[in-house]
Amino acid sequence: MNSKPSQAAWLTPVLGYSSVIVIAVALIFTFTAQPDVLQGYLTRILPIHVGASWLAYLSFGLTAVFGLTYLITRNPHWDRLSLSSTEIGVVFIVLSLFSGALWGRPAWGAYWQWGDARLTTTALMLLVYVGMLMVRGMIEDGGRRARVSAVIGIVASVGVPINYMSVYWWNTLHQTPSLSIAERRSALQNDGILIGFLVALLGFTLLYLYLLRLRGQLALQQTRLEERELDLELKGAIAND
Amino acid sequence: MKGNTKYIIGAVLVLIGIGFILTSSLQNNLVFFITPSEFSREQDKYANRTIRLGGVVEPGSVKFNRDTLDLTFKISDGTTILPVTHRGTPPDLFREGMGVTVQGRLENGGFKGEELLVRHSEEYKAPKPGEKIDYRRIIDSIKDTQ
Repeated sequence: MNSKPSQAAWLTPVLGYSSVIVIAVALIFTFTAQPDVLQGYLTRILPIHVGASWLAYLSFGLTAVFGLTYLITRNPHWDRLSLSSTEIGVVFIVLSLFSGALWGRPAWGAYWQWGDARLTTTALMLLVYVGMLMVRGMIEDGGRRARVSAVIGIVASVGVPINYMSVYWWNTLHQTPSLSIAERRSALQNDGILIGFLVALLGFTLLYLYLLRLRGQLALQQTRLEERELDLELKGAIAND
Repeated sequence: MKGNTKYIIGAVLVLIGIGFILTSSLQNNLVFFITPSEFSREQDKYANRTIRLGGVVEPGSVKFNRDTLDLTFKISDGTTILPVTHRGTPPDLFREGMGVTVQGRLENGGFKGEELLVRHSEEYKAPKPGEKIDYRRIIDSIKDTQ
Protein backbone atom coordinates (compact mmCIF):
# COMPACT_ATOMS: atom_id res chain seq x y z
CA MET A 1 0.00 0.00 0.00
CA ASN A 2 1.36 3.38 -0.72
CA SER A 3 1.14 6.54 1.26
CA LYS A 4 2.45 9.99 0.69
CA PRO A 5 5.94 10.56 2.07
CA SER A 6 5.44 11.99 5.53
CA GLN A 7 5.30 15.74 5.43
CA ALA A 8 6.85 18.13 7.89
CA ALA A 9 5.71 17.01 11.35
CA TRP A 10 6.05 20.48 12.83
CA LEU A 11 3.32 21.89 10.60
CA THR A 12 0.39 20.17 12.37
CA PRO A 13 0.87 21.71 15.85
CA VAL A 14 1.68 25.09 14.28
CA LEU A 15 -1.65 25.01 12.44
CA GLY A 16 -3.44 23.96 15.62
CA TYR A 17 -2.03 26.67 17.85
CA SER A 18 -2.34 29.40 15.23
CA SER A 19 -6.00 28.55 14.60
CA VAL A 20 -6.75 28.92 18.31
CA ILE A 21 -4.92 32.25 18.46
CA VAL A 22 -6.56 33.61 15.28
CA ILE A 23 -10.06 32.60 16.41
CA ALA A 24 -9.37 34.20 19.80
CA VAL A 25 -8.36 37.43 18.03
CA ALA A 26 -11.58 37.29 16.00
CA LEU A 27 -13.61 36.94 19.19
CA ILE A 28 -11.78 39.86 20.80
CA PHE A 29 -12.68 42.10 17.84
CA THR A 30 -16.26 40.87 17.89
CA PHE A 31 -16.74 41.21 21.63
CA THR A 32 -15.24 44.69 21.77
CA ALA A 33 -17.27 45.90 18.79
CA GLN A 34 -20.05 48.38 19.36
CA PRO A 35 -23.38 46.64 19.98
CA ASP A 36 -25.48 46.44 16.84
CA VAL A 37 -28.14 49.14 16.49
CA LEU A 38 -30.84 46.51 16.10
CA GLN A 39 -29.61 43.27 17.61
CA GLY A 40 -27.32 44.55 20.32
CA TYR A 41 -24.99 41.84 21.57
CA LEU A 42 -26.68 39.08 19.60
CA THR A 43 -24.17 39.63 16.79
CA ARG A 44 -21.44 38.22 19.01
CA ILE A 45 -22.37 34.76 17.79
CA LEU A 46 -21.78 35.82 14.16
CA PRO A 47 -18.10 34.73 13.80
CA ILE A 48 -18.82 31.30 15.31
CA HIS A 49 -21.95 30.73 13.27
CA VAL A 50 -20.44 31.92 10.00
CA GLY A 51 -17.09 30.27 10.73
CA ALA A 52 -18.72 26.89 11.40
CA SER A 53 -20.94 27.19 8.31
CA TRP A 54 -17.96 28.14 6.15
CA LEU A 55 -16.02 25.13 7.44
CA ALA A 56 -18.92 22.82 6.63
CA TYR A 57 -19.00 24.19 3.05
CA LEU A 58 -15.21 23.92 2.73
CA SER A 59 -15.14 20.38 4.16
CA PHE A 60 -17.90 19.06 1.94
CA GLY A 61 -16.52 20.82 -1.14
CA LEU A 62 -13.07 19.34 -0.55
CA THR A 63 -14.58 15.92 0.23
CA ALA A 64 -15.73 15.91 -3.39
CA VAL A 65 -12.36 17.16 -4.68
CA PHE A 66 -10.46 14.52 -2.70
CA GLY A 67 -12.90 11.84 -3.83
CA LEU A 68 -12.46 12.83 -7.47
CA THR A 69 -8.68 12.85 -7.05
CA TYR A 70 -8.92 9.35 -5.58
CA LEU A 71 -10.94 8.10 -8.54
CA ILE A 72 -8.29 9.47 -10.91
CA THR A 73 -5.12 8.47 -9.03
CA ARG A 74 -6.43 5.46 -7.02
CA ASN A 75 -4.06 6.50 -4.25
CA PRO A 76 -5.58 5.66 -0.80
CA HIS A 77 -4.08 8.88 0.54
CA TRP A 78 -6.92 10.82 -1.11
CA ASP A 79 -9.56 8.50 0.27
CA ARG A 80 -8.22 9.08 3.77
CA LEU A 81 -8.37 12.85 3.24
CA SER A 82 -11.89 12.57 1.85
CA LEU A 83 -13.02 10.64 4.93
CA SER A 84 -11.31 13.15 7.23
CA SER A 85 -12.92 16.07 5.43
CA THR A 86 -16.39 14.52 5.68
CA GLU A 87 -16.04 13.96 9.41
CA ILE A 88 -14.87 17.54 9.99
CA GLY A 89 -17.78 18.80 7.90
CA VAL A 90 -20.30 16.82 9.95
CA VAL A 91 -18.92 18.27 13.20
CA PHE A 92 -19.08 21.83 11.91
CA ILE A 93 -22.49 21.59 10.24
CA VAL A 94 -23.79 20.48 13.65
CA LEU A 95 -22.10 23.50 15.23
CA SER A 96 -23.63 25.70 12.53
CA LEU A 97 -27.13 24.36 13.21
CA PHE A 98 -26.66 24.67 16.95
CA SER A 99 -25.27 28.22 16.92
CA GLY A 100 -27.96 29.22 14.41
CA ALA A 101 -30.69 27.91 16.71
CA LEU A 102 -29.22 29.84 19.64
CA TRP A 103 -29.27 32.99 17.51
CA GLY A 104 -32.67 32.30 16.00
CA ARG A 105 -34.51 32.10 19.30
CA PRO A 106 -33.88 35.70 20.39
CA ALA A 107 -33.69 37.23 16.89
CA TRP A 108 -36.50 35.48 14.98
CA GLY A 109 -38.48 34.17 17.90
CA ALA A 110 -37.89 30.50 17.07
CA TYR A 111 -35.05 28.02 17.42
CA TRP A 112 -36.04 26.17 14.29
CA GLN A 113 -38.44 26.48 11.35
CA TRP A 114 -38.97 23.52 9.05
CA GLY A 115 -40.32 25.67 6.24
CA ASP A 116 -37.12 27.64 5.79
CA ALA A 117 -35.09 26.49 2.80
CA ARG A 118 -31.70 27.36 4.29
CA LEU A 119 -32.42 25.55 7.54
CA THR A 120 -34.03 22.55 5.90
CA THR A 121 -31.32 21.99 3.28
CA THR A 122 -28.70 22.23 6.04
CA ALA A 123 -30.45 19.49 8.04
CA LEU A 124 -30.72 17.44 4.85
CA MET A 125 -26.98 17.81 4.18
CA LEU A 126 -26.16 16.66 7.70
CA LEU A 127 -28.22 13.49 7.20
CA VAL A 128 -26.70 12.79 3.78
CA TYR A 129 -23.14 13.00 5.12
CA VAL A 130 -23.92 10.99 8.24
CA GLY A 131 -25.40 8.41 5.85
CA MET A 132 -22.21 8.51 3.81
CA LEU A 133 -20.13 7.72 6.89
CA MET A 134 -22.46 4.80 7.60
CA VAL A 135 -22.07 3.45 4.08
CA ARG A 136 -18.31 3.59 4.64
CA GLY A 137 -18.73 1.57 7.80
CA MET A 138 -20.73 -1.10 6.01
CA ILE A 139 -18.16 -1.83 3.29
CA GLU A 140 -15.23 -3.96 4.39
CA ASP A 141 -13.19 -3.98 1.20
CA GLY A 142 -10.97 -0.89 1.24
CA GLY A 143 -10.89 -0.29 -2.50
CA ARG A 144 -14.64 -0.64 -2.93
CA ARG A 145 -15.28 1.54 0.13
CA ALA A 146 -13.08 4.28 -1.32
CA ARG A 147 -14.74 4.14 -4.75
CA VAL A 148 -18.30 4.17 -3.37
CA SER A 149 -17.67 7.00 -0.93
CA ALA A 150 -15.84 9.03 -3.58
CA VAL A 151 -18.93 8.84 -5.80
CA ILE A 152 -21.29 9.71 -2.93
CA GLY A 153 -19.02 12.59 -1.90
CA ILE A 154 -19.02 14.03 -5.41
CA VAL A 155 -22.81 13.73 -5.84
CA ALA A 156 -23.60 15.04 -2.34
CA SER A 157 -21.47 18.15 -2.83
CA VAL A 158 -24.27 19.61 -4.97
CA GLY A 159 -25.80 20.45 -1.58
CA VAL A 160 -23.19 23.14 -0.96
CA PRO A 161 -24.24 25.55 -3.77
CA ILE A 162 -27.94 24.74 -3.24
CA ASN A 163 -27.61 25.54 0.45
CA TYR A 164 -25.70 28.76 -0.25
CA MET A 165 -28.14 29.95 -2.93
CA SER A 166 -31.28 28.86 -1.04
CA VAL A 167 -31.72 32.30 0.52
CA TYR A 168 -31.74 33.88 -2.96
CA TRP A 169 -33.88 31.26 -4.70
CA TRP A 170 -36.70 31.00 -2.18
CA ASN A 171 -38.44 33.22 0.34
CA THR A 172 -36.64 32.37 3.53
CA LEU A 173 -36.63 33.46 7.13
CA HIS A 174 -32.85 33.35 7.00
CA GLN A 175 -31.22 36.50 5.68
CA THR A 176 -28.93 36.68 2.64
CA PRO A 177 -25.11 36.74 3.14
CA SER A 178 -23.69 39.83 4.80
CA LEU A 179 -20.60 39.75 2.66
CA SER A 180 -20.73 38.87 -1.01
CA ILE A 181 -17.73 38.99 -3.30
CA ALA A 182 -19.87 38.18 -6.34
CA GLU A 183 -22.15 41.15 -5.64
CA ARG A 184 -19.29 43.32 -4.30
CA ARG A 185 -21.42 44.09 -1.29
CA SER A 186 -20.74 44.31 2.43
CA ALA A 187 -23.56 44.82 4.89
CA LEU A 188 -21.18 44.76 7.85
CA GLN A 189 -21.15 48.45 8.70
CA ASN A 190 -19.46 47.92 12.02
CA ASP A 191 -15.67 47.75 12.03
CA GLY A 192 -15.29 45.36 14.96
CA ILE A 193 -17.89 42.97 13.54
CA LEU A 194 -16.38 43.14 10.03
CA ILE A 195 -12.80 42.49 11.21
CA GLY A 196 -13.96 39.76 13.60
CA PHE A 197 -15.89 38.14 10.76
CA LEU A 198 -12.93 38.12 8.35
CA VAL A 199 -10.40 37.00 10.98
CA ALA A 200 -12.76 34.21 12.07
CA LEU A 201 -12.94 32.91 8.47
CA LEU A 202 -9.12 32.70 8.46
CA GLY A 203 -9.04 31.09 11.92
CA PHE A 204 -11.61 28.45 11.02
CA THR A 205 -9.75 27.69 7.77
CA LEU A 206 -6.55 27.10 9.77
CA LEU A 207 -8.56 24.90 12.14
CA TYR A 208 -9.76 22.87 9.16
CA LEU A 209 -6.21 22.34 7.89
CA TYR A 210 -5.11 21.29 11.37
CA LEU A 211 -7.96 18.83 11.85
CA LEU A 212 -7.54 17.47 8.32
CA ARG A 213 -3.87 16.69 8.91
CA LEU A 214 -4.55 15.23 12.33
CA ARG A 215 -7.42 13.04 11.11
CA GLY A 216 -5.50 12.06 7.97
CA GLN A 217 -2.54 10.90 10.05
CA LEU A 218 -4.86 8.92 12.30
CA ALA A 219 -6.47 7.30 9.27
CA LEU A 220 -3.04 6.33 7.95
CA GLN A 221 -2.15 4.69 11.25
CA GLN A 222 -5.47 2.84 11.26
CA THR A 223 -4.72 1.51 7.78
CA ARG A 224 -1.27 0.37 8.86
CA LEU A 225 -2.68 -1.32 11.93
CA GLU A 226 -5.27 -3.17 9.86
CA GLU A 227 -2.56 -4.27 7.42
CA ARG A 228 -0.37 -5.53 10.24
CA GLU A 229 -3.25 -7.47 11.79
CA LEU A 230 -3.95 -9.01 8.41
CA ASP A 231 -0.28 -9.94 8.07
CA LEU A 232 -0.23 -11.56 11.49
CA GLU A 233 -3.40 -13.51 10.73
CA LEU A 234 -1.89 -14.73 7.47
CA LYS A 235 1.33 -15.76 9.20
CA GLY A 236 -0.64 -17.52 11.91
CA ALA A 237 -2.67 -19.36 9.29
CA ILE A 238 0.49 -20.44 7.48
CA ALA A 239 2.13 -21.58 10.76
CA ASN A 240 -0.92 -23.64 11.63
CA ASP A 241 -0.88 -25.49 8.34
CA MET B 1 -23.27 -9.70 11.40
CA LYS B 2 -23.19 -7.60 14.55
CA GLY B 3 -21.08 -4.80 13.09
CA ASN B 4 -23.29 -4.41 10.06
CA THR B 5 -26.60 -4.40 11.97
CA LYS B 6 -25.51 -1.21 13.71
CA TYR B 7 -24.92 0.50 10.37
CA ILE B 8 -28.11 -0.82 8.80
CA ILE B 9 -30.18 0.54 11.70
CA GLY B 10 -28.34 3.86 11.32
CA ALA B 11 -28.89 3.93 7.57
CA VAL B 12 -32.61 3.27 8.02
CA LEU B 13 -32.84 6.13 10.54
CA VAL B 14 -31.04 8.45 8.13
CA LEU B 15 -33.37 7.48 5.28
CA ILE B 16 -36.43 8.07 7.50
CA GLY B 17 -35.03 11.48 8.39
CA ILE B 18 -34.39 12.41 4.76
CA GLY B 19 -37.86 11.17 3.81
CA PHE B 20 -39.41 13.19 6.60
CA ILE B 21 -37.70 16.39 5.48
CA LEU B 22 -38.60 15.85 1.83
CA THR B 23 -42.27 15.18 2.55
CA SER B 24 -42.83 17.69 5.34
CA SER B 25 -41.12 20.83 4.13
CA LEU B 26 -40.25 20.63 0.48
CA GLN B 27 -43.88 20.04 -0.47
CA ASN B 28 -44.59 23.74 -0.23
CA ASN B 29 -42.00 24.44 -2.94
CA LEU B 30 -39.70 25.70 -0.20
CA VAL B 31 -41.57 28.98 -0.02
CA PHE B 32 -41.45 30.07 3.57
CA PHE B 33 -43.93 32.91 3.15
CA ILE B 34 -46.04 34.76 0.61
CA THR B 35 -46.31 38.53 0.32
CA PRO B 36 -49.49 40.50 1.08
CA SER B 37 -49.79 41.26 -2.66
CA GLU B 38 -49.65 37.57 -3.59
CA PHE B 39 -52.17 36.92 -0.87
CA SER B 40 -54.69 39.53 -2.00
CA ARG B 41 -54.24 38.63 -5.69
CA GLU B 42 -55.29 35.06 -5.03
CA GLN B 43 -57.62 35.41 -2.07
CA ASP B 44 -59.77 32.47 -3.18
CA LYS B 45 -56.80 30.14 -3.30
CA TYR B 46 -55.67 31.07 0.19
CA ALA B 47 -59.09 31.35 1.84
CA ASN B 48 -59.61 29.02 4.80
CA ARG B 49 -56.03 27.86 4.61
CA THR B 50 -53.24 28.40 7.08
CA ILE B 51 -50.59 30.44 5.32
CA ARG B 52 -47.56 32.49 6.28
CA LEU B 53 -47.42 36.13 5.25
CA GLY B 54 -44.11 37.94 5.00
CA GLY B 55 -43.63 41.69 4.88
CA VAL B 56 -42.69 44.78 6.82
CA VAL B 57 -44.47 46.12 9.90
CA GLU B 58 -46.10 49.31 8.65
CA PRO B 59 -44.77 52.23 10.72
CA GLY B 60 -47.38 53.75 13.01
CA SER B 61 -49.67 50.74 12.87
CA VAL B 62 -48.57 48.79 15.94
CA LYS B 63 -50.90 48.59 18.93
CA PHE B 64 -50.08 46.26 21.81
CA ASN B 65 -52.15 45.80 24.93
CA ARG B 66 -49.84 44.67 27.71
CA ASP B 67 -52.67 43.29 29.81
CA THR B 68 -54.50 41.21 27.22
CA LEU B 69 -51.39 40.63 25.02
CA ASP B 70 -53.51 41.64 22.03
CA LEU B 71 -51.28 42.86 19.24
CA THR B 72 -52.54 44.53 16.09
CA PHE B 73 -50.42 45.88 13.28
CA LYS B 74 -50.39 46.22 9.51
CA ILE B 75 -48.14 44.13 7.29
CA SER B 76 -46.97 45.68 4.04
CA ASP B 77 -44.89 44.79 1.02
CA GLY B 78 -44.89 48.32 -0.35
CA THR B 79 -48.02 47.92 -2.48
CA THR B 80 -50.49 45.95 -0.39
CA ILE B 81 -51.17 46.55 3.29
CA LEU B 82 -53.07 44.01 5.37
CA PRO B 83 -54.26 44.31 8.97
CA VAL B 84 -53.05 41.55 11.30
CA THR B 85 -54.21 40.56 14.75
CA HIS B 86 -52.14 38.35 17.02
CA ARG B 87 -52.27 37.36 20.65
CA GLY B 88 -49.01 36.94 22.50
CA THR B 89 -45.80 38.77 23.30
CA PRO B 90 -44.03 39.66 20.04
CA PRO B 91 -40.35 38.63 19.61
CA ASP B 92 -37.84 41.10 21.03
CA LEU B 93 -36.79 42.47 17.67
CA PHE B 94 -40.38 43.14 16.61
CA ARG B 95 -40.83 46.80 15.81
CA GLU B 96 -42.11 49.16 13.16
CA GLY B 97 -40.26 48.91 9.88
CA MET B 98 -38.96 45.41 10.65
CA GLY B 99 -39.47 42.39 8.43
CA VAL B 100 -41.83 39.83 9.92
CA THR B 101 -43.55 36.62 8.97
CA VAL B 102 -46.89 35.74 10.47
CA GLN B 103 -48.59 32.39 10.14
CA GLY B 104 -52.34 32.29 10.37
CA ARG B 105 -55.52 32.59 8.34
CA LEU B 106 -58.05 35.08 7.08
CA GLU B 107 -60.92 35.52 9.52
CA ASN B 108 -63.73 38.10 9.37
CA GLY B 109 -61.86 40.15 6.79
CA GLY B 110 -58.70 40.40 8.90
CA PHE B 111 -55.63 38.20 9.11
CA LYS B 112 -55.46 36.32 12.39
CA GLY B 113 -51.87 35.39 13.18
CA GLU B 114 -50.90 32.40 15.27
CA GLU B 115 -47.14 32.47 14.99
CA LEU B 116 -45.19 35.68 14.63
CA LEU B 117 -41.50 35.68 13.65
CA VAL B 118 -39.12 38.52 13.04
CA ARG B 119 -37.11 38.50 9.86
CA HIS B 120 -33.98 40.59 10.24
CA SER B 121 -31.73 41.70 7.40
CA GLU B 122 -28.09 40.80 6.79
CA GLU B 123 -27.07 44.33 7.77
CA TYR B 124 -25.17 44.95 10.96
CA LYS B 125 -24.53 48.54 11.92
CA ALA B 126 -22.62 50.24 14.65
CA PRO B 127 -24.40 53.20 16.23
CA LYS B 128 -23.47 56.49 14.53
CA PRO B 129 -21.26 58.86 16.54
CA GLY B 130 -23.49 60.63 19.03
CA GLU B 131 -26.29 58.13 18.55
CA LYS B 132 -27.41 56.89 21.91
CA ILE B 133 -27.45 53.17 22.40
CA ASP B 134 -30.64 51.98 23.99
CA TYR B 135 -29.01 49.69 26.56
CA ARG B 136 -32.32 48.98 28.22
CA ARG B 137 -33.63 47.50 24.98
CA ILE B 138 -30.41 45.59 24.31
CA ILE B 139 -30.49 44.04 27.75
CA ASP B 140 -34.14 43.17 27.23
CA SER B 141 -33.30 41.65 23.87
CA ILE B 142 -30.84 39.16 25.30
CA LYS B 143 -33.19 38.07 28.03
CA ASP B 144 -35.52 35.26 27.09
CA THR B 145 -39.00 36.55 27.61
CA GLN B 146 -40.58 33.13 28.03
